[in-house]
Amino acid sequence: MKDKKTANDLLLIAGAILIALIALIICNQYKKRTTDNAYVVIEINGEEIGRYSLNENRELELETYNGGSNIVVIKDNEVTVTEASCPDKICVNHKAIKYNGETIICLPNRMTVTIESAGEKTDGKTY
Amino acid sequence: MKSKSLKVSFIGMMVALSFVLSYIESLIPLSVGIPGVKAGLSNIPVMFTLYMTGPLIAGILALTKVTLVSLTFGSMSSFFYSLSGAMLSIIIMAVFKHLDIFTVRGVSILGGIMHNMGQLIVAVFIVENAKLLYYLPVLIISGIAAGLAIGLIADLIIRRIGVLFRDNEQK
Repeated sequence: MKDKKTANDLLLIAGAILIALIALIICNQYKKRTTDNAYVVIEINGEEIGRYSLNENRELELETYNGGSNIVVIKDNEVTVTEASCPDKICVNHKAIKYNGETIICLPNRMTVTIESAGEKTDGKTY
Repeated sequence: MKSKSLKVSFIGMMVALSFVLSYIESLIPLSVGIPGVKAGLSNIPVMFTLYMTGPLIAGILALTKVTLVSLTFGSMSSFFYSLSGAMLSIIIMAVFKHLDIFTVRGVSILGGIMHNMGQLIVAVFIVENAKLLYYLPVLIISGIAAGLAIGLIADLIIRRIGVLFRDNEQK
């Protein structure tokens, strides 16, 4: 009887992990769908300087804050920063972003690259 | 529990214990990088009470614990999160304890998961944003981990000192 219950415990854990995995997969599917019609919004020093479709490939050379420069590449619905004039290169080493709400930030050059969904309004944003 | 005075003192002790354990837990920043995830040490007395005196008193204990902790360390919104989590978990735990298909550990794991689910449900209503459901996998896994930890401890306590409080007629 005791062993049976312990086996049930293990079944419970396995079942719960399974549900968690299914939920994770569903969440990822949902996230993927939000990349349709999404925009890449680039801000420098808090000002929006450009808004580009995530679905079109392009390469952007940007003159950023305080004489800095960054190159932002939009390719295959993913955005990466390939070059930066800053010393730390955190933005260059950042993994490619592709989901709504993801951001790459280059702090020394005060540049942010954010993915925004077309249908979604951001409220409460202040500059 | 045979005598009424034993019962009263037992409940008082459990309330005090869960209160103190909540406080101790708030002192130890057990951060795993996810906001709101903690072990829930104060649920050990709740588990113990559930197995010693039954679901009704364990439910009252959980309610008292949540109220006391929210009044002292928390805020109004944290009260609702904690309350729904605690109530959902105690109800589900009572049901599965009664069904007698899991060990103490299994019941505790279920309680841990339900604790998180209850909080998530309230969060979805308060924030009115279904995107919070992204948290679901994380909350299930952390619920299993916390529930297992609490269950192992509660199981030991019930086996070692449970005989002191348990009636003969209760199983």
